[in-house]
Amino acid sequence: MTVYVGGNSHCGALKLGMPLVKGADEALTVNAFGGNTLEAEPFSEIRDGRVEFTSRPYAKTLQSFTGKGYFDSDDIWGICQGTHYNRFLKNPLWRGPAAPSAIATPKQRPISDGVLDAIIEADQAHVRTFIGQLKKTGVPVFAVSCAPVRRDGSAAGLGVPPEVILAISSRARDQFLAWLEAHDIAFVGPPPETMDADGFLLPEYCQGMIEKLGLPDPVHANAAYGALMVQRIMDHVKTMAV
Amino acid sequence: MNPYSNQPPKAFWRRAVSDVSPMEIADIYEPRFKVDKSMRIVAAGSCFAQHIGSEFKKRGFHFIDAEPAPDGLPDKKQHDFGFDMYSARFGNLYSVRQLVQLFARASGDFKPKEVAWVEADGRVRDPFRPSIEPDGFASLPEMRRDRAYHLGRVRTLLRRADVFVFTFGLTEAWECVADGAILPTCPGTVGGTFDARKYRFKNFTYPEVWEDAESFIKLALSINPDMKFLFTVSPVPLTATATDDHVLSATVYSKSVLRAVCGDLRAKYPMVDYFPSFELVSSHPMRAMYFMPNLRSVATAGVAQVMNVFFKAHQGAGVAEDAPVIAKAAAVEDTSDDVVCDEAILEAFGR
Repeated sequence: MTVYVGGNSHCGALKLGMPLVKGADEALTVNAFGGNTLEAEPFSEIRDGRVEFTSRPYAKTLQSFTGKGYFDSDDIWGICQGTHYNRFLKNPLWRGPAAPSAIATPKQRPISDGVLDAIIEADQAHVRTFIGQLKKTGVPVFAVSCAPVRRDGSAAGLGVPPEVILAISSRARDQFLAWLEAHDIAFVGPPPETMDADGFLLPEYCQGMIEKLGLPDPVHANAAYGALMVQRIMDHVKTMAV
Repeated sequence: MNPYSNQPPKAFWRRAVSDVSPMEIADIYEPRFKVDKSMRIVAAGSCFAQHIGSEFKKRGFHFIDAEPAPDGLPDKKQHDFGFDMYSARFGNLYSVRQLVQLFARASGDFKPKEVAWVEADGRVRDPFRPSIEPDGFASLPEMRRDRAYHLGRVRTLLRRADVFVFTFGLTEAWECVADGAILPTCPGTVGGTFDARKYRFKNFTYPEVWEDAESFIKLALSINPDMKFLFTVSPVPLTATATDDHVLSATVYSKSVLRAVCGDLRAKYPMVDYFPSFELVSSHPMRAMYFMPNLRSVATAGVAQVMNVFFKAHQGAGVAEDAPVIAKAAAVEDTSDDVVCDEAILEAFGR
């Protein structure tokens, strides 16, 4: 039995953190399936009682990552997806014209909780489907948090106010956690010490650069954050009765 | 010679109706003014009006949607939240009184005493758009903010529109005793609680519908003197009547009043036109073939027939490439899922 952690690009911080945690290499295998944009479309299905990726890039990565074209119920899977909010945070709507109703100014279009929930639900739909399929096919599965939103993140860089980022991301998080709870799926949340009082990722845990590209990274967490998360994941796995 | 001698073929029942296929009835609609793609169109009305707005959009007309769905809300969810149905998120406006009061509320001239319906679970409904949020608003402040934004968008419509399309739906309505505010649904159905001391049944008479329609036309022309009006009557029968009459008699009364008012408005006002969607679907030469088996919901083919007649008459407007072929009229294709109709909820309350 192998314990895998897979998901979107937030797995990068976990990989960076692995060498910093004693015993992590033996305990976990971490790799990203691919970019989060693929989560916005259906990307998995159950074939012959096993979950497979229908997304080609994801399927290719899974094969090279595990040597299998499917999710084996003999393995444990931590899925690092469902708590990445950039896809809808970067919506031009939030850059001034509108805001969640509770914090909208009189000059902004107020977006009701109901409408916001529907937007979030649509964004998370395929990740929920995927995790639900793993659960249904008997794969021991838990969810792993993506890094908390950054105060200097790409949505902020586009002009989305911090209060809007927080309001939307916390609502999306609550909604995802409620779904997980309803499906009896555990969630490994971010270490509280990595966040400021508002819930933003603290600067010392932000990844500065995308090394390969030599460009600033406005989204991800760094190795220090990854190490703390890896430890939490390892602690969680120990509690799993498989 | 007699007054009929020089009448065109369309004036004679045998040549115009009984000797032709109901799908080929000609010259039933001769537009008083052309609607072209440069004209800004606003649409409101009963649930059949949703089809009209949808066809204008599909065929590339300049349809004004002052309250479009926010990006990210999936298409299949938009109607659930009252988006992409009319020119703003006002839901179904079954009576002209509702239309008049909507603009009066938007301008601040009318402030109904009926503010909100707070449900047992704390969710809040807007009495004037009770199904606009499927589960109600989260709180009273959320509903107030949404309503303020909505009415602000409604305020922009009259000055922006070149053509105002309104589909007359019903004469039957529910009225607040306190101030005459007309509700789109009976309290206790979609939301709220029925209280006979607070709400009363209202069946608008011809003079009342006429007066309301004139009042709206005058208001619109005071803001936009070049406005044109295109009126239709919904062919959709009543789901239920609150009168003592049989629902069929009540439907015929309701539609007759509305049809008569539309005819007289067209006769009086040169900027008013009437499009016979009611006749094209509901009249007996059509043999009810455009209705679903419940003889109430209009099938896709019926909508296509109506809209093709309309757009064909407006030369150059063309027929939508994906419009269903009329020959498929017999196909039983339910459109009711796509057309949100508060009134249909009454069905659930029938014995």
